[in-house]
Amino acid sequence: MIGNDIIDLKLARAENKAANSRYLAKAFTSGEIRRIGLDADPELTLWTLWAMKETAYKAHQRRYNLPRRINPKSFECSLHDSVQRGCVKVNTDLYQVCIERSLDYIHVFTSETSPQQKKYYAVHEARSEFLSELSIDLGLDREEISIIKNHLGMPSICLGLNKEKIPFSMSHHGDFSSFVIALINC
Amino acid sequence: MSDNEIISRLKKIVEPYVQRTEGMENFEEETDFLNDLQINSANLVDVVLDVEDEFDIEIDNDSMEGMLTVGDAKSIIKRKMAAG
Repeated sequence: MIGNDIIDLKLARAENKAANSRYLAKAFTSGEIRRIGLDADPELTLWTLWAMKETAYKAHQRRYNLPRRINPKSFECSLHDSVQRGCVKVNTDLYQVCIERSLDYIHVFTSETSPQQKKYYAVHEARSEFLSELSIDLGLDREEISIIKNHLGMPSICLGLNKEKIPFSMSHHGDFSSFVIALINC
Repeated sequence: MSDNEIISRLKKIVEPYVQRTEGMENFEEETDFLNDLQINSANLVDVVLDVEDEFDIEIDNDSMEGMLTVGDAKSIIKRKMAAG
């Protein structure tokens, strides 16, 4: 199942969330709060965990066609030692995620489907840029590719004349946009 | 407290987090925090905390789960104020 989330660290760090115990208690489990507190860079860890929760939320919602909910504490994250991978547990389901971090952003995406992903920095119309690039990659006309959302707000890419629907996830924060698509033939 | 007063206080609370300001022009029960106002999901937790402070109530996790629209928030605030 597909999901992804991007965090613009310049925006995120300015919020000073790691020092806000009420915020922590609403969004994170006690184990996660401990992990954030022990880290040399608590803000970075906090936003990594948040992006993991969002990613797993999107994958979980798609898997079961769930209505939207604000339930970040239902998604319990664990980071592997390398911090490039982690997993998120919700009820009895586990979602494996890949984590990419730089000085400027955190990008998390589900790793089960070996998806294709693209990131954009400071691109005004990132969504249409992505669709143009995808049309070139797939050898289709730009008009043959569109984004549709179902009644639960979950996006898919709609391809070609026969309107084939491909699972798709998008995220936007500050100057960053990211897109992940499960392409079978690429 | 009247429904109108709750909604006008809510409008002030959410304002700093709104990314789609056109959505504020028709701020009503159906207004969706994510779709219409494009409030970032991490900031929705801030909205919950600010609502707790403004109305002197505590919003438990079960209530927070369903706080997706202005109307949802209004109902939760009324219920918590009546219980408190």
